Amino acid sequence: MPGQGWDVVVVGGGLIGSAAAYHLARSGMRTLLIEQGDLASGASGANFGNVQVQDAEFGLSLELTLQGYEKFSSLEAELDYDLDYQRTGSLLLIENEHQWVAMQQRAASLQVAGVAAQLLDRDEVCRLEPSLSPEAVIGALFHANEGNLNPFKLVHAYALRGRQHGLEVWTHTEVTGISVQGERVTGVDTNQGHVAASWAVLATGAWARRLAQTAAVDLPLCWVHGEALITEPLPPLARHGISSAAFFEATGESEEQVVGFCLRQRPEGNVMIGEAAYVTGALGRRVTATALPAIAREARRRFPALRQAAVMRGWAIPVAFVPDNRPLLGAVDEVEGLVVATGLKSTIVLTPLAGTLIAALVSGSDVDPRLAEFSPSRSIEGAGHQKINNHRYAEDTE
Amino acid sequence: MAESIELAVVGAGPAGLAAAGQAAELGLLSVTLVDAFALPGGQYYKQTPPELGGDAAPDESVRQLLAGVDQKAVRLLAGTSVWGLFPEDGAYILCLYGPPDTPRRLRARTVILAPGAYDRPAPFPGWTLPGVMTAGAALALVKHQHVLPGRRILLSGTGPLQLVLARHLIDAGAELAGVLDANPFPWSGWRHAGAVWGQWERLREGWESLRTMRKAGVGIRWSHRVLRATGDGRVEQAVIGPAGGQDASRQIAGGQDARGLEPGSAGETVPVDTICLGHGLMPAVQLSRLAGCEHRYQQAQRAYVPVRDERLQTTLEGLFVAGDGAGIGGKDVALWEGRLAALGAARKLGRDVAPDRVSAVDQALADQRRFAAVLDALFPSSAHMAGLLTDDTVLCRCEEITVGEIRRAVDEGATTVNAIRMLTRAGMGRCQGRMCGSSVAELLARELGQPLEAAGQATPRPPVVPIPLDGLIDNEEA
Repeated sequence: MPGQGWDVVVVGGGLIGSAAAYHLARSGMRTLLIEQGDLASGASGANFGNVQVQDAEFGLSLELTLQGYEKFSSLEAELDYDLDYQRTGSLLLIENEHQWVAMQQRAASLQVAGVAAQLLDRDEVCRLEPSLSPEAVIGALFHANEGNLNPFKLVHAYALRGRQHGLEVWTHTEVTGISVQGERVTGVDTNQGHVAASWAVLATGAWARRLAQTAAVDLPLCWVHGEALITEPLPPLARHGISSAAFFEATGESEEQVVGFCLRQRPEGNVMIGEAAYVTGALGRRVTATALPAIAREARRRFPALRQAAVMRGWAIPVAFVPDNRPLLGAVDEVEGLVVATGLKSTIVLTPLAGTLIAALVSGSDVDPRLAEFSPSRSIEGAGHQKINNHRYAEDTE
Repeated sequence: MAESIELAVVGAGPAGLAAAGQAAELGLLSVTLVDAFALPGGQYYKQTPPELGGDAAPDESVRQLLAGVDQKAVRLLAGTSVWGLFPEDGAYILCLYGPPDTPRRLRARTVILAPGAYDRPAPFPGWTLPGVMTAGAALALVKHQHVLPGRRILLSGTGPLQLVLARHLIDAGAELAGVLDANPFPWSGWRHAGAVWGQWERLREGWESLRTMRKAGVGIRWSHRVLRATGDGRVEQAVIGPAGGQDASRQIAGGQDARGLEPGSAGETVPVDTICLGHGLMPAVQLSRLAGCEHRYQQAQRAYVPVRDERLQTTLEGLFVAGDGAGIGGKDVALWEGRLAALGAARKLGRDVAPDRVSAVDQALADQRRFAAVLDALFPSSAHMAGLLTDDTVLCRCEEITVGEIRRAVDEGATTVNAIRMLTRAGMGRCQGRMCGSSVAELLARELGQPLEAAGQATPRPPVVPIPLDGLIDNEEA
């Protein structure tokens, strides 16, 4: 470690943290990336790898999402790493008349915003995905421009290439607090001791709220305990990324388990299916007894061919969200030198962009003033209703 | 709604049978014994199904154990997998998958896990050729299914289980190309005379095996092991050689490999059609890990095992582990641990358990553990020779991931079993890393010079065995 400390400590070795660390190191900052477990062992390694445009909020989020998406065509070349990236397109299944009306409106708005989205009827959907049960859908919203990659590899590639620019990576090191003196970040405390730094970037997903509290910052951040499963390798079952339009009907998160539907077949043939979720104050990673049966019910109704497929494993992870559906991305007003990047809705698609933004913020370059919309210090209506109980933090290490 | 019971016992081997029998005798209600096989007995008391000519009556000790569960007080759910174990409000939800009408869910106030063990994988170049199998598989074939695994067979491994296998193979008419023990001759055995005193049944078994081997002209080559195997489509030759220095196990424990073992080490070529690997056993900790009780690395076992108190309760109230699933101790340790765990469960359920009953079981268990410790000391499972592995050796058989791919991931910064799994897919297949987890850890220890336990444990994921998607859903909805 340099005698006078690091320029910047990035906390969290997931998608955003590793991308930020890479861009920071590349811009010449002395950068340290700290991760409590293995790289990509949090929510970044627990998602489906979708490079997803379909669920972005209209406005700045969608604009940045589309910008972010464009970066993926050259990302493998930039990182000189095979990320298993492929453009597959996606289908948002429409399952009732109410959804049909809502998706009609959404398709029109997306087209105006320049997104290649198209409403399909039942026959067209079933031609695209012959394994889908015709009884389960009345149509779909098709997005041509969506892709998929291996998120483990993306995180790993950023860390690997960052190291070549002088990035240092500490895994299995827990950051226990942000140290602040006179409203300015002076470093972070870890289970290995104090680390001096001028900047701290919090990219720790749902864990960001607790860490920010150590700097007396209360982030308007919530999370669900999300669960999914994966089958054995199967013959071709679904070519597109698939999810249910019921996603847009959800009337807020619940402390009861809510089961949605999304599915993605990996290049190796394994089929990932999600997800069951409930809002909790605990940061746990344990699969619940009810999640896998609930997900299985949703899956076999739509893809009957899955009934006899062997399920190999399930997993669970806290997934961060912000009640106003906009990310927390930017500098914290109250503490100089503290940057937060979490609660991105479709994290992967925004990862390269967020990485460059954070590097620009820290190095003092100009950034788009509209990003104030994502300020972690903004006040959010409804955040108080999420019943996150700060005294209920219970964490396990699995 | 899940059916509520007082005690669930998982696994019908020696520990599980003893636990269920003891629990029934103590008057526990609704004792349910769940086992993945069609017939109870586990690996040690494996019963040959009638369709394979299993007409031989089990011997007296087995009959007594089976009689202990063959009564109304114990319900046996055979052919049933336990794929999940979830603590919930002071009880445990067990998720089951078995024949039609088997409940898919039980809610048990106490649980005794008796999952046993599986063969410790011992990869070497050529180990994926047809004709290479574990000693456990070979023993099951010859002893229970009356099938010879091959004609000319090489045994490579360590410890007395190899002798038992050798005897069965010779009796069944196979030719043994050799019995290799990776450990040196147990000169220090005399020091353990006290612990061995009284273990006449086992000494007799060992003696008879040695006599059979001597008659067949087969000796044991100490400090030797198979280095690689070659053949066109199946094993045709084995190359054997020294397993390393006298202190092989100690060196490896420090993250080093045995001296002189490098890929391509010169050795002696032996024509064979079968190689049986008996490098010891691994505790099956998948369910205890999933439940979330604490596990600790144990040097003597070269494995993580659940932490238990003197009544075999884990760090979770009401969850007990008995037998090899908590560390390899063998059949007799398992029997007494099963009984002790049942006494513990009874107490937890509020039954009066006479203290002298517990102390009698404690005493018997202590004797058996002393003997098991002798075997551990004489035949440490030290024979994993990561140094032998060539880049093209397949380590993860489910996903066909090679040593070279794993070494590349190590070069790129991976230091744990989980990191290797994410980067290479080793351990992401059907066996969830049972077959490659320990090998990956051994390879990491060698490549990075780190202690074995630093590689950590693969995160447990339910279902702990693959289950058809329909099988996850409750029966009444199926």
